[in-house]
Amino acid sequence: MPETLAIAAPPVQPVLDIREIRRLLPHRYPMLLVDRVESLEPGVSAQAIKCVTANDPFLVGHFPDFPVMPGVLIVDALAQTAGIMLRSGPADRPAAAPSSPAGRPGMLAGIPRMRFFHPVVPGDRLVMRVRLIKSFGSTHRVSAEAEVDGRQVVAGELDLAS
Amino acid sequence: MQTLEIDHQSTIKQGLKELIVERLNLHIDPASIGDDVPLFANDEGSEGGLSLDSVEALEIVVGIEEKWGVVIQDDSMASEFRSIDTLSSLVGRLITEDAKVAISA
Repeated sequence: MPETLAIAAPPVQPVLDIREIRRLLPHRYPMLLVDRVESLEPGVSAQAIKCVTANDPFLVGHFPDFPVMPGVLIVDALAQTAGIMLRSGPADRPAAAPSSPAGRPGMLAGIPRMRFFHPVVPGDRLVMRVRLIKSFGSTHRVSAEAEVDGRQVVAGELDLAS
Repeated sequence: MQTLEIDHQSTIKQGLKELIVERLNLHIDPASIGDDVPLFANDEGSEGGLSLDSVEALEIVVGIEEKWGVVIQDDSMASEFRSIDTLSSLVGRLITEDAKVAISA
């Protein structure tokens, strides 16, 4: 009997692929830190993926002998995920272009709380989840967390401004 | 009854001042915040006030919601987010509305 390779469950169909993400976010190389959006409830919650590879430019210097994704970049990846959630807006309002003033919700305005539990290294598939806690005026507070292989690596809250 | 109402408002005002100083890490005495001084920047006469910004407003909103168990709507911004006086009447009104809902439920 031939040996069979264990095949993982097929990946979740992306809600937004990288081309659609580029339409929502102004970020480009080397700062576009979201590869795929797996679930999206506009203005409410989102789940997105960042696949970390040894070729990621920030790993060149962080660190040459011990590549670890910088925590601040994980925070920015979470902020970008939150930006996608906010930019996609309520279902009845079309998403604004990133270049328009109305299309700018997503500027990081504060990090009220954030903890890092485990290093994120090449080969890791960072699963990021954000959920809106409260909007007031032009400012939004979101809870944000990320896990790798089901293990939480970072969790906290972010403030984003329009 | 009248006195009770006034006591209630002054308790809310004191709680608001402590909440603002604590959550925004201000290095001032809560009692030094005047009841009618503009809290936010861009308000008329804001020079003498705390000149708080929109992120700090959100922090105050979250703080009020946690402290008094009320929900502040996103449209409260302009008129009710001005001074300790206006904020405390907003909080007082929200608490009263909650109490009425609880009684009628």
